[in-house]
Amino acid sequence: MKKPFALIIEDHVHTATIFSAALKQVGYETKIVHDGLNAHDTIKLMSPDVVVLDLHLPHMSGEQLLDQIRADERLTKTKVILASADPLLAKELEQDADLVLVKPISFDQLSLLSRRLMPESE
Amino acid sequence: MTSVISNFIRNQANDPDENRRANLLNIMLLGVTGINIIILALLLVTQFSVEANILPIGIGTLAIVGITYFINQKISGPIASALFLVLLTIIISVSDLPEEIIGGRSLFLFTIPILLASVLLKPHYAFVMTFFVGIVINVIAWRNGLEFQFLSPVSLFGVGLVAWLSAKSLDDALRELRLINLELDQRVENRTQALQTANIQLQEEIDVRIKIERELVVMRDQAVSANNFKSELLARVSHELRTPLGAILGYLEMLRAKIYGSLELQQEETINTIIELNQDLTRLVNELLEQARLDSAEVKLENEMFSPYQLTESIYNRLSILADNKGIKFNWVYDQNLPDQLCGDMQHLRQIFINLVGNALKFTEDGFVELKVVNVDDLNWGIVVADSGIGIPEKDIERIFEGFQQVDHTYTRSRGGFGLGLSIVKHLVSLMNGKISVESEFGKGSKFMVHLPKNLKEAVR
Repeated sequence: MKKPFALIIEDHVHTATIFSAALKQVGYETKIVHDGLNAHDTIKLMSPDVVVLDLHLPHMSGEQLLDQIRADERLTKTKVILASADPLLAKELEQDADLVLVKPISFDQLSLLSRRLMPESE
Repeated sequence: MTSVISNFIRNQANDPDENRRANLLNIMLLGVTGINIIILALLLVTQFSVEANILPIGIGTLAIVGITYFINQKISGPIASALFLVLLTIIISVSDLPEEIIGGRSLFLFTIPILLASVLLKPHYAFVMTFFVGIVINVIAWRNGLEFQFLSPVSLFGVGLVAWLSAKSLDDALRELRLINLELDQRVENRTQALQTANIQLQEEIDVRIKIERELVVMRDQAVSANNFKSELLARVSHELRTPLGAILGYLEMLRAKIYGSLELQQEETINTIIELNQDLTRLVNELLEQARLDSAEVKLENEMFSPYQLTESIYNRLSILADNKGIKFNWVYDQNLPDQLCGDMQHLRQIFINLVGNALKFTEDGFVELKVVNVDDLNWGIVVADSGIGIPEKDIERIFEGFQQVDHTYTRSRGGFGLGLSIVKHLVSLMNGKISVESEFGKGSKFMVHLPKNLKEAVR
């Protein structure tokens, strides 16, 4: 069976590593992107099942990337987990995201929640 | 014309009495000159028809008047006055028949030089003049083969007495007036000086105040910018701290989840301890961040409908784990009279609940913590958090809502925290137009009561 694929867009290297480990633990295959422009290109080429999206990114904001994902017809099934240190901004974008997490986000918490978003669990 | 006359009259003597007398003499001289000129003019008109020797007398008089004026102005007032009086006496003594002059109809003319002597010279010169006139009268009598005169000089002495008295009282009155004037001048001078001194002091005081005011403005600006800098720094530092703290927690959880291989029991326990410490640290940083946000007035309240029941229940569920861990009895009481929905900022209300109940749990070692949500009146609802913890000493009750205050530092150090929890609660409650109060008995427990509007939108409008 093909593993579900998760794209992690997070500029802080260690935080990204932890997110990746949490998702791998519950069975995802992961790819990490550290800046907004790279993320923009990657989204065009790939169809992730889950995107973990940080809102403060270099070169291009998480908000713009979220709009891009929601506008792409290929990605209608893609689940988006917003990870932000700014609770007010996160609240504003709540409607467009499948899950909103306010940093700091624990490994255990992310593992638990991402398991629920697995395509099989639908 | 007037100024010419007054210039003619004015004398520069230093003593005011002498000056007055010299001026008076000048007036007399002016009068005599005027009369002389009129008489001479009349003589010219009437073609010298009367007595021809009056002309040289008139001209001689004018000359003597001129000399007297010169002496009065340049040499000495008293000498000029004496000269004038002698001249006047001589003129009078030849102005009528000798027998009339020394005791008849013209005797009264001698009162003129006597009166004038008392005012032109000093008052007692009236007597000198009387004596002189007496001599003159008897000289005239002797020259004309008439009887020795005693009665008329004695009667003139009476005139001299009156002249002396009146001139003396005039002098005294004038002297007194001058003294009064002098005193008045002195008083005005003193007042002026006092006013000037007061003025200078006032100006100095104003200058000092202006200076202080300027310094205060500078200090206020410095304080404001220091406070802004502090808030900004705190926010930035807290934010920068949270990211690595989150990462440390994540790695620890990864270790605990055995992603990097199996663990010995002791290693696992150590990791758990580090995770707990990390959570404490994260909480502290969050407190700091929240305080900085409140200080920099970044907080905006939301107006949303929420269920107070659900809010209380979720708080209870979340915090009862903490109470269980410590072995404290934790219960909640919900007032059924509360409406199903209230309007407010749920996120910040949650923070008020968590800080109050969290504090109660933190400072209670055994016993109970009770959370009550009550219907206060039509417009307000309330949160009451009571505990059987360490309580607050009476002297510290006023300070507990200030930031960075923990009452007994030695006792509470082990409990962690900057003591910002209550300060944040107070700030949020007042933003919501609510009230907070506390009752406490040291060693027995505390009770915090918060009153909040049921409709935040109406209350803070």
